[in-house]
Amino acid sequence: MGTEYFFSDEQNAFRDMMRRFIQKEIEPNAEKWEEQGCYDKAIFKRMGDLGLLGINYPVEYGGQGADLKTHLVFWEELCRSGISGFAMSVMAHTDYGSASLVHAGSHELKEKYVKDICSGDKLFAIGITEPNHGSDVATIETRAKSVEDGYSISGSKMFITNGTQADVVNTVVRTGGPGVKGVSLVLVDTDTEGFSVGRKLNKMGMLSSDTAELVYEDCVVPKENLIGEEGKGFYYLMAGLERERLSGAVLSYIMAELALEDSIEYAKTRIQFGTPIISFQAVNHMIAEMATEIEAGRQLAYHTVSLMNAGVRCNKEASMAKYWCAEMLLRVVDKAVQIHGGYGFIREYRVERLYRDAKLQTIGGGTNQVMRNVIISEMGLRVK
Amino acid sequence: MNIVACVKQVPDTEALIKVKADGSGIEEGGIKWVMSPYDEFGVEEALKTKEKFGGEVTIVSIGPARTMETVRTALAMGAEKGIHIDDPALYNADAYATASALAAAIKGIPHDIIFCGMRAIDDDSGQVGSILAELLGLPSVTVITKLDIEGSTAKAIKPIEGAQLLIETSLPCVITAQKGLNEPRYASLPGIMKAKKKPVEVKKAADLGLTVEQKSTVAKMSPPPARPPGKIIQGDDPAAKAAEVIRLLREEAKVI
Ligand SMILES: Cc1cc2nc3c(=O)[nH]c(=O)nc-3n(C[C@H](O)[C@H](O)[C@H](O)COP(=O)(O)OP(=O)(O)OC[C@H]3O[C@@H](n4cnc5c(N)ncnc54)[C@H](O)[C@@H]3O)c2cc1C
Repeated sequence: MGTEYFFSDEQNAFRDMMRRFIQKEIEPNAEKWEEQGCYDKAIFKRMGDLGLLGINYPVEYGGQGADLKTHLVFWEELCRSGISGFAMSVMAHTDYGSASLVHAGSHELKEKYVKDICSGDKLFAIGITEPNHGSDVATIETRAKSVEDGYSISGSKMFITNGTQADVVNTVVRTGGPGVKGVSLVLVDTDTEGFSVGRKLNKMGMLSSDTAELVYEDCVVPKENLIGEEGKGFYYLMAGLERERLSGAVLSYIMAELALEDSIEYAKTRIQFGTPIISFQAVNHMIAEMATEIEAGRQLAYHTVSLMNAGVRCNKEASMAKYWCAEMLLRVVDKAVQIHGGYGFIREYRVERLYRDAKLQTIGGGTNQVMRNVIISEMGLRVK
Repeated sequence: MNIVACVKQVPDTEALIKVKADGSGIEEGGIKWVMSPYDEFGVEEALKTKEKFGGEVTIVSIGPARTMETVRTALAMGAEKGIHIDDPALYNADAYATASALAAAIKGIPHDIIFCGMRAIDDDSGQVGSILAELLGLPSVTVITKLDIEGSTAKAIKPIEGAQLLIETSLPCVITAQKGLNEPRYASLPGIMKAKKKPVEVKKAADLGLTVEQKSTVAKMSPPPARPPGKIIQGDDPAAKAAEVIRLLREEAKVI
């Protein structure tokens, strides 16, 4: 791959280990998981046993206490499984659903939940989006009323990854008045009375991941399940955004890399007009462009990693990487299917799946339009 | 228990091997190096033995600087320490010189049981384990798929054509591992991080009091002959074509 220079010997050794694990225990499940519309939940326990679910979480809570680049290796190899829905589901557990808890949760709450996150005993999800509130998170309506024995939560959440299988949903709720200052985060065990899965949603792609609508009806959870302080939920979420956006970029450029690899292999072996199609300039120039764009996307992400490692604020770069890599991915999978001709439209070929999976990347975890808004804000150019 | 596992670094099984133009060896550029798969079974069995009886696992390997990676992999899997014999006189050495160097290193440390792979997947010699045992004056049981240790006795299962042998020997002994012996574990992330700090001694042949002596040398390496192109039998009459296939299988390929 030629990226070893960016990593330490230990990180490269970890990549070898990850790759072996993914090839042996994840990749063979691709068809089954895509077909059944979800991964097998037991895989989380296996990953927990191998110490893969809390790479950058504190050792004190069962994590590995490793650094960001080690975490990047984890993301990259996870995504290289090519089962992108599954990769997204794992990230919902290891990153999006749990980062705010690790960042701002009380010691007791972390004792109670982070160990189970790292061991894979409890599967996490993050519930932000609602049927009527997507990009505009600050207006969410799910209400958490203070009652005698905790919070009583009522409302619904939409598009929740791991929704049908999660044991805990990190739920964004309104504890106060309107606006961001009324928003809090509360952990909801899914076996709590009043919690239910509304329905499992049928999707275009990312089929190996379950996505669901969740319903809360006077669902009472203890006060201790509040992460940090009331009214600060929005800021706790924001604290993890740079990483979340970076991980979105990683999934995009790795998916693009897989599409490129498949295309090269195919173009070398597909014979038309008596010659492998890779000998046609129209085809090999597509490959040259795909390779160039992937490299550019990867370097934008690596630059963001370097800034993060240096402790430099990089929300702008992370947002740039997320949207640019997502759009780059769409260009790359389009070419990949084109190079495969009719076979690229057929289920047996991985590029067919990558093509369907790719579209989510410009929507999930903040749309590409929202990313541009963030960039403009970060540049100090937002007009109020 | 003092346990030793010998490992060799070899090209990845998926690496594309190119023989050097002068036939002196293979082109090493761009090759990914890994622990020989049979040695992995040896390391895994060494670790399991340690987990059962307590003690320490020492990894011994011979090769150039890059070999350290493979030693570290074994340490990341859970071994305690390593000896890396790095001496140009031993690069690409034959089975005898290799076994002599391993024996020289192992003589200097306590050893109750020694694991090797049944063969290395690069030169396929399959002799090192047995020569090593001979040089150390120990019994050896080779190509085994199951091992039980009771007291100072090792009971090993060795599959042979149409049957299997249950072989008993006394410790210390040399065991060479065959596929099926176990399922090697992954090097875990904490293991990888700890491996960096585990002690590995780097030694030259002279440090081991060894003068390298080879019993054989590879005179020349050449790639396997290129596969001849397939043959397509032309014609409209299926019966005639079938007859031609039979004739070719009989007379040219000589397989029927
Ligand atoms: C498969 C899948 C998994 C998901 N997983 C999760 C999950 O685990 N947890 C979770 O909470 N959510 C999840 N989501 C939800 C996802 O984060 C949202 O879909 C996304 O944030 C966009 O919100 P929306 O769909 O409501 O679109 P809207 O916000 O309604 O946007 C519609 C369109 O308007 C544009 N738009 C909106 N506001 C602006 C603006 N200010 N300027 C310019 N354009 C704008 C958008 O870019 C978009 O093009 C998931 C979604 C999917 C499809």
